[in-house]
Amino acid sequence: MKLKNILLYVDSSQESQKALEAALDLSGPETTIIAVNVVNRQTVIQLTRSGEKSVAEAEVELEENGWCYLYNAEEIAKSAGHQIVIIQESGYPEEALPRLAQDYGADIILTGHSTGNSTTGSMVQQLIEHAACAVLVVK
Amino acid sequence: MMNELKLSNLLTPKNILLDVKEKEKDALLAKIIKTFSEVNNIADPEALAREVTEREALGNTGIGRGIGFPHAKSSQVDEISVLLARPARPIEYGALDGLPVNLVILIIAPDSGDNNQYLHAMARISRLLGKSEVREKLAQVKTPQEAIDTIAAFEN
Repeated sequence: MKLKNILLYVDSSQESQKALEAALDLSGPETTIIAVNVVNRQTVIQLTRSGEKSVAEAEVELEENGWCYLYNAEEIAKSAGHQIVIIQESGYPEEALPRLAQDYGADIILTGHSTGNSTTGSMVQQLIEHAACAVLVVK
Repeated sequence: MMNELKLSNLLTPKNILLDVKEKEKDALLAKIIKTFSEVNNIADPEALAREVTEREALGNTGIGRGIGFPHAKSSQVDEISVLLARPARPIEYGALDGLPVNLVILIIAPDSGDNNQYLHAMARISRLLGKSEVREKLAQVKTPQEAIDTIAAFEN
């Protein structure tokens, strides 16, 4: 199967790093990796629940960290000669990824799976249900 | 967050171009790189242009919302350096979201420098220019110094 577009979910997890490696393995000369970070509303709520951070502070932290993960992924992919574009969205990954996959004609969605993380587990389950294309969950 | 490099500290009136007349992406990038090379006394501007365009060929640096963010590491600079350009008219850039670009920022980092500082600088700039209120203000500034003051106000 020749892949034209791979939608890659990028976050802070080690599994996300493994998903990037898998994306590079699956990429051919005609493949573009579309790396996406989602500023997760659920995480914003979690960060503000304790009262240590305001919503604005939590969003700034997540946005900035997210761009860092994206530029890191871009650096790795481009240094290896792969084609990659990066985007950041706000919302819920399980909703954003299937929509972006459709908008950008992705053949497959790649995401890491953090073992034992119930939030990630539930995200992956919903992603598989809602995606119109194949989903590869990397452990 | 570590390495809080501020865009306003990297900008001077010399590395800001307002109302650039070039109408196509390639011409705009060429103009930006030429000016960047002059301002920063780049020894080999052609090598720098090659480095930027080769990276661009591996993935469009339109990050959405009307922002173009070409970037590269290069042996031509000793420290992180930038150039901000505002085209006179929106330019078709081939960004994923399909929007033409109103603002382009070139960032070049030393190829042997601190990679974390480079990544954090790009992340900070992307977040800053991602804010619609920043872009709206920058669309209205009349002088390079006004652009610096606007960015500094949002960074502080």
